[in-house]
Amino acid sequence: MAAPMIITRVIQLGSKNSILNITERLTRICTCAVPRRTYYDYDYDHDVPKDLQDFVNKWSRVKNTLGPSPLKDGPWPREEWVPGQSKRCGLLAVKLGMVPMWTKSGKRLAATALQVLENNVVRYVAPEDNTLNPKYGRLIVGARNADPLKKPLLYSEQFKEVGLPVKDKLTNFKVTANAKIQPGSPLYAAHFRPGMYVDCCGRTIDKGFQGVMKRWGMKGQPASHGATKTHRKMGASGGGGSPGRIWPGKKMPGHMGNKMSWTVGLKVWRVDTKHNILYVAGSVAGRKYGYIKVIDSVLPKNKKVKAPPPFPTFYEDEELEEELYDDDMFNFSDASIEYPEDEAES
Amino acid sequence: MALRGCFPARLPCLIQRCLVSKDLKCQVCTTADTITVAETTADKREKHVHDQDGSSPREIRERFISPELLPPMGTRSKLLDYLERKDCFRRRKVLHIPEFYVGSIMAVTVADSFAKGKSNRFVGICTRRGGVGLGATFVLRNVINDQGVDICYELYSPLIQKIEVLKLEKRLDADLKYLQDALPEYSTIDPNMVPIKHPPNRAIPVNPIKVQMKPKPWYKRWEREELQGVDFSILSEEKLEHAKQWWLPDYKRMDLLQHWELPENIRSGIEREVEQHESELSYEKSKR
Repeated sequence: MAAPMIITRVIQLGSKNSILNITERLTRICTCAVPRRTYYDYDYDHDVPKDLQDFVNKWSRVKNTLGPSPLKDGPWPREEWVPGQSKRCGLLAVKLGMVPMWTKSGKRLAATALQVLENNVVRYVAPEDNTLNPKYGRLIVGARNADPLKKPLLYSEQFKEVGLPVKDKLTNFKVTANAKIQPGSPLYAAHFRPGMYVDCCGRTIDKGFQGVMKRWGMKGQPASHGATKTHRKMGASGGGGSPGRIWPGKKMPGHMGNKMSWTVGLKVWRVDTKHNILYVAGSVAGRKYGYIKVIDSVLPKNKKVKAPPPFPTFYEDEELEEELYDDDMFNFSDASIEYPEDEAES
Repeated sequence: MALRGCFPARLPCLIQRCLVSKDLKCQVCTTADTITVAETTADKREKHVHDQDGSSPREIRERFISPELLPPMGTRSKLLDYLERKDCFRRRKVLHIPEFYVGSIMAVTVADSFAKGKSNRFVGICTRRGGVGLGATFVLRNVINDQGVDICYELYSPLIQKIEVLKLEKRLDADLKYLQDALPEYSTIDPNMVPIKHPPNRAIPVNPIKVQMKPKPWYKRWEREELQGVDFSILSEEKLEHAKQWWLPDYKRMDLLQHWELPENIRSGIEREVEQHESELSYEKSKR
């Protein structure tokens, strides 16, 4: 491969500097100049002897967590849930795949399994400091511990003050001031309970440049009967003389997929509190193992849920069972379903 | 017995060969009549083993693992597979799911709100199995009132009340979809069939039957598939020769990249899970 050769040359130039400076330079250079996958297998034998390589890796992983955590100062006071007003934090989950599930009446559901992987609150921005929307505060949440050598230095430094390992992905959630959570505290799947409704946001699968039939579902033209060179094209694109132009937003060929999309109003049927997995009915946009944002649903049907949610989040002092089921969901250790016989027939 | 009259001169050497070639020198055989030894060699010699106590013979067979418990090739989440398997075992503790293969004759009882006794029993031959984990399915086929019926059942659906295997056997092919285009006599099964018991720890018999097909049109050009259990005598030899070009070529069949097996650490882990499940089942039975 050509790319590692370039990198080794860079190392030779800056060999007198410390290790961290080199890694910083490497990550910066590699992320912009050379293809992305090459910075995994760079060769820093010139500077670090092979015995030290493991040590450097381990140290870089632990380094951030050695600082003082804000959790040491004592917990922030927990405030009470105000129905219809307060807005809770969400979770950043990883999509594992889909599994079948059955209700107690025997109806089959296709459920998506979302794993809440090592979620921690990284930062809280109060509503006064939130310049974008001063009505709400912001909670910045990170998911999945990552290798800091593969992340830029500026990015990995922001976890130092919270005393957290470097996270792979960051997002922010709009919250009210009473739903704030102390930075550094972990978030679990028990944040959502069976019976609640959630909205999920994921990045759709990239389809590339697509024609009008696949992208918008237009009908196309006939395959035969004298059709020439128009089989998968769109028909008319608008009126004639009166507008004299194409209206903005006309559906046309172009890039399809690879954009964020929301799937709204999905019911939580089951929560695995041991492995931190949410089972949500229906499909969620996005590829397998992609990140998915999960928040309380904005739909009115979520307001019908009478039991108050864990507010501001689930804390470990609350004792829960290993698996939480919805009342209507069939538990696999129950007996098979039998329909009661009608009295009129017998 | 027939050997005694035919060639008595060759008998001792025959017995000797048998005794020397394979480790058959167990006490039960040597004490018996000499001719019975020669007869047992006609069976499968290698699988015929006696217990140390000298009890009845048994055949050693590999542990059967239901195919939906083994994850297929591809990027899969190991955690989700494990959790699915856990649910499978949980269901298997309530409902007895017997060992069955494509080709064996089965009966399934399903809860049905529109049926007379609120349940429905269907007897048929298993034509295909599919799905992974909790989504495992199997298809049963039968001909009822001159009308072919195929029903796809979900193995772990809570509506299933009972699964019986009436006759445990295998066929020459892994998929019997072609029975739809075969003569109806090959897929008609008596709904009141009496179950035939399969002796435990005995190898599964393979039914070598070759089905006769109906005249064309078919669902698919079956002669292009490499099927063992079909008799294509209605087609001309020219057509059969012509169809051979769609068979899998040798260089693809020998391609090592095409052959994929479960990694051994995963397979042994699943075997351990199955063992644990079986031991728990037997413990619960002994409790009762």
